[in-house]
Amino acid sequence: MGTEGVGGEMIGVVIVDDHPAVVDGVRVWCARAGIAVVAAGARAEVALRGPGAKADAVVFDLQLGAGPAWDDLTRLADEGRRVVVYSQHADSETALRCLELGAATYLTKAEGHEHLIPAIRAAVEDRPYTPPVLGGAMAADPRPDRPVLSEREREVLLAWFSSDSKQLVAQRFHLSVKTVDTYIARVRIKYADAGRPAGTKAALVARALQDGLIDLAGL
Amino acid sequence: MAAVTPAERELSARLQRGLRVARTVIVLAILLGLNLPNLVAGSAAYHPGWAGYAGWAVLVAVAAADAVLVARHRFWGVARWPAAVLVLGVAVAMTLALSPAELGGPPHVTLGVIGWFGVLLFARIGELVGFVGVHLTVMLGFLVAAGRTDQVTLVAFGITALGVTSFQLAVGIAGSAMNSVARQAAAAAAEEAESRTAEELAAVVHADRERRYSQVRAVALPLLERLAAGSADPADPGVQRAAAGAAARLRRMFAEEGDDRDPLAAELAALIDIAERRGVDVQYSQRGGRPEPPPPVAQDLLAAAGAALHAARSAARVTLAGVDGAIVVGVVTDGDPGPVAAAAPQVETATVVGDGQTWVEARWAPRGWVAR
Repeated sequence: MGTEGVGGEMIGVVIVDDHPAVVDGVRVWCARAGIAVVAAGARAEVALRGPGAKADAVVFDLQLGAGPAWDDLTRLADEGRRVVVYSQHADSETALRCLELGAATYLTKAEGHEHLIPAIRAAVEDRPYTPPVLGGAMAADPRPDRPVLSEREREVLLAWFSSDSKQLVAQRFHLSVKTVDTYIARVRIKYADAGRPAGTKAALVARALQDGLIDLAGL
Repeated sequence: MAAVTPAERELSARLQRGLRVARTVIVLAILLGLNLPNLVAGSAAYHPGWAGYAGWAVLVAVAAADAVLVARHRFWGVARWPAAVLVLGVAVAMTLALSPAELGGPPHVTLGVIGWFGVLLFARIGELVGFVGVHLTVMLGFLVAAGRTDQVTLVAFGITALGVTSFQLAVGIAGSAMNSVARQAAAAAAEEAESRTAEELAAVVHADRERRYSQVRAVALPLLERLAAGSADPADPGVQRAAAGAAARLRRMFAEEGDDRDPLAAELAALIDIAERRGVDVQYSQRGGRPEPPPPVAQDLLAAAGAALHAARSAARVTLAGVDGAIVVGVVTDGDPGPVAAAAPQVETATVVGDGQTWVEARWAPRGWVAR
């Protein structure tokens, strides 16, 4: 039973990572989930040319070679590619910068086992996906120009970071899991609507409007 | 020569004050008590007649300026060079105005007194010798130019020059010696201050270590004694928890510097380390900037985390977050830590059980944070 992409076909991803072991691991997870890996390589070019250029999502290791590959990430986002940043960096600044540049989502390698496949699926559907560490980064965002969150949104996000369980968060605040999901998604949309515009961000906001996750007044 | 420090200058000024007062008195006494009567008696030797008095007045003015500097604890500094040129100029002008027959005689007042100005102006012996040498050479030049190279005159000139100059050099050397004494004294004082600082630092470090050891004594020793006496059972979860807490303290104490900047994260890391040694798979994340909590608050936060971590059987998730000045420590565990409570009034704890897990959260909000 394969997972279907936007065109009704099987989801195809391209992996950009310079650690062969990571590429192999992601291949195994994708194979189990019925997601096709159409290309893989150590450089961003693999996602821009050849079979990789048609993949529905890019699993992108930010740490290619010397430093964070901000230019490659910007280029992929500008071409409208849905980028799932999969990084060993755990600092908030890196995570928030990736969102700012137009990445669909950001997860640390420690979260991959649980969150990478759902993150890829969400990205392909232009739906927000916020793994706990990214949630923590948004809840504790110290920047003065951060999007304005409601008290409840921040609390839910912080609890999601702390517990990594929407069920526990729901129990704690006497909410349904779906409502918890909505709070977390709304914050992600607020971040998509802030800062530098990117096609991928607009798609995220448009989809959230269609899904009734937010209304225009909420932005 | 090393640069003169302000401390050295200060000490030198204080030590030299007596000597400088004495020099000024000597010079003024010579000008008023010796030179003035000689000028009055021999004013006819000067052409024009006022030239002697005019030059003398300039010398008195320079000596007076020096007296003012001494009174204000100040030195000539670079002004010594123009002052020296002025004084030598006066000597040359007065000698030119003097009739050649009186060269080296009583009316030739500058011959003896000019060297004393060198003593006033120059603290360094080399400069003083140079100044006196230039003056005497010029005066000798005048004698030769006047054709007075007979033995008697030259011997008389030599006796005067040598006699007066030796006094002047002796006083100058005394001042120079005082200078080096001042430098040594200043260096010794600086060294003493430095060693005092080092001692105080050592005392602070020692006190800090004592404090930590006393903490360990308070926490670890009673536990070890009870274990040795058999009154504490190693199988008792309470005893195990206490042992884990004491181990965390010991670990932190051995870590000493380096972890001091973020003691809360360091102690949390120690607790995680203990859990990992038991084979628990711990995931740790921290987010946001945090203030440093007061010790009782930190202890409460860590106690809650420690209890939850200790209960973990195979996996735990530990998070430390700083949000708007609040500190939130969260632990999700697959075991049952039992009830967790905080002692400090500002620390709130929450326990949520579900999904086969227990989530313990401890939160400190110093500035009116409202937890819901």
